[in-house]
Amino acid sequence: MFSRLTNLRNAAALVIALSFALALPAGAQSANRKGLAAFDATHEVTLQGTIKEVVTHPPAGSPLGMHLTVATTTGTQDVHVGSYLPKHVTENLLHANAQVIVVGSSVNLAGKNIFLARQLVVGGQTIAVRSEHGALIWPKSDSNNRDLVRKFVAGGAQ
Amino acid sequence: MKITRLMLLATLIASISTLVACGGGSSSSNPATTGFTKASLKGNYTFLAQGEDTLAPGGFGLYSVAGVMVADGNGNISGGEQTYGNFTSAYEDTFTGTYSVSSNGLTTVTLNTGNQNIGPGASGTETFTVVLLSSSKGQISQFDGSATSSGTIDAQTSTAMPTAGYAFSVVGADLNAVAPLNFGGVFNIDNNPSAGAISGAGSVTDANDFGTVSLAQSLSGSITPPDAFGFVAITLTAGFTSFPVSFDGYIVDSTHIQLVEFDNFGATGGTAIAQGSATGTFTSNSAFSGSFVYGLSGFNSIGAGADAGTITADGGGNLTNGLIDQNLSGTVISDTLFGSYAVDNTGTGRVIATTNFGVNGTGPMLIFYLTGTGNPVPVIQSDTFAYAAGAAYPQGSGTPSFNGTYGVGFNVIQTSSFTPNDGVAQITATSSSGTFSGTANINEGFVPTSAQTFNGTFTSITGGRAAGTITVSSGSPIMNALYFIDSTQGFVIETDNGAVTLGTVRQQVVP
Repeated sequence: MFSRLTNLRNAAALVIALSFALALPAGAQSANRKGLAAFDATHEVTLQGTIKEVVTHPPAGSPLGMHLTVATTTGTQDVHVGSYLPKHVTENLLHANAQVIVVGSSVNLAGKNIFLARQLVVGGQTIAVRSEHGALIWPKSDSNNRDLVRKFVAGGAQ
Repeated sequence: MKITRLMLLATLIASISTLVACGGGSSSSNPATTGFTKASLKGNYTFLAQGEDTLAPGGFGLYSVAGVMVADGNGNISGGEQTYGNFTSAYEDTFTGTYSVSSNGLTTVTLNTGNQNIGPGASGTETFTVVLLSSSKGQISQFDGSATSSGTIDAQTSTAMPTAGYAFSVVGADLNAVAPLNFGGVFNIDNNPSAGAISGAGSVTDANDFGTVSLAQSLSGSITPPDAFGFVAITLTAGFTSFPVSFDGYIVDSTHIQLVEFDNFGATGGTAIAQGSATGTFTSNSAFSGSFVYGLSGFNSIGAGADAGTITADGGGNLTNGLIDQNLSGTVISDTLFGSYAVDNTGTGRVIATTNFGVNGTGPMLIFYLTGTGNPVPVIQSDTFAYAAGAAYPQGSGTPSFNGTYGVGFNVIQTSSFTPNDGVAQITATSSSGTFSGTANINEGFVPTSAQTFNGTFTSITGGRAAGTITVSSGSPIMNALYFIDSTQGFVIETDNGAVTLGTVRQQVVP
């Protein structure tokens, strides 16, 4: 939270947004929220379009993490790609006017639909964003094995 | 902010972890705000901090560091051991160092490990900021350009060989999937067939690994005898993975062990809490009763998340009178919470609970691991959505008072700029005005910044909960909720969409 401490925030907008969320009729919220927002791989869809905007600081009411605004033939889609894409992807591949194919699924989070990308195809590269269960994938090491440097001999003084 | 993280943090929290390793201090009314000296830190101290470092691929990764440092009361760390584990490596190192203490308890500790794989510029040097709560407890945060984290530091009062049941919860990463992982359970050191053996009888574990939830799995293994610093190696075979699972443990006292995973399966950390004489006795729903305050932190399909709140177990399988603030990557649910639970009849202390929000539908699935009357209860959230770990604390009776001097530790798991922040603060709260003020040392995205003003407001406490704001330096107010275990300690969770934060507030008692 504190990286933004020196930035003025629109507290009024935040309060309004939260108030709106809390003011939704209870029945409407319950109906929209079928349990927690589990990623459903059986209902994945594929979007193809053009990145209109890469949103790194989403507005109030939108989940944290990077979003792509993707223009498709049927309209504009807000695509959540999370906070953990490798730098070579965010810095070199994701930019306005780039063609992109997005495989993912919508989830309902506190009454709001969010499209979560599981996979991106952009710049000739296929980028895994989430697991089939919806878990965000972090930057991966070249090696599957950690260096385990054990020095202590348990049971004896060092 | 991190009065919540725990959840992640708690969690860790989270913690984070979870986030609060040991119990709070004694009750006191408006203790003096000054009086700490180098002599306040003397003896062996066990610490655990969890957060993010810059040493992983992509410049971001989770890490945990735990160990024991020996303070001489005169500004020197004469020795110690630690385990540092991140995405790419896990290291055991010895160290020496120095420390300085301000009169308000804010302390700087520098450890020289000689390990040129860690620390800023591969220097092998780690710097921590600590807010001392007393001569025996503190909140700790790594405070340099290589890593940012938060956790606890406690006087080490035992290095005796652990025995009987230990409940635990951990959160971090699956190293092979490079994705979130949490697990918890009970390992029962039953010394069968040999000293230190964990036969599997009375042991159990649950995991959410990369979205695959595995419930009530087998757990067996062994624990080595402690070394002179209370280090133990815990090797486990868990039913949810074919990989060996190993922890480096550092004993705090007769009931707590701080854990850092040391294997090629996961990069997790957390706290194990002894069941003691209650081991094996939790056979019916009546074993889980009373009101609890919980904090968890971790991850979900959107990003990071944290939960904090209260819940009452009625001893008959019902969860009632609950409150929750759940921050899901900046989407916040503030609601009531109720549900049901079932205590395993095997006696392990495992309790599986399903919950519902008052108006927001299905709530988190929680698994508690009971530890006996009065002790914190490790808890994990293990549903298809979230991976979190933390602890639930028996709630004190009466309405708590937030008045006097406190130490705050916090972990900001996720921000809009992707940069994690952690820190500690020393504050003075005035209940009559509903305000507090103090000073914080905050590592803002691997940029340590000392002596920031840390002021805020809070409402009256209802049902253990108060709403509030925190303002750091000249920033805008940050909305949060405080959940008090009693007048001496509680959780704080951020409730706006600016970040995911879980932290702890613990009363300060000048030695």
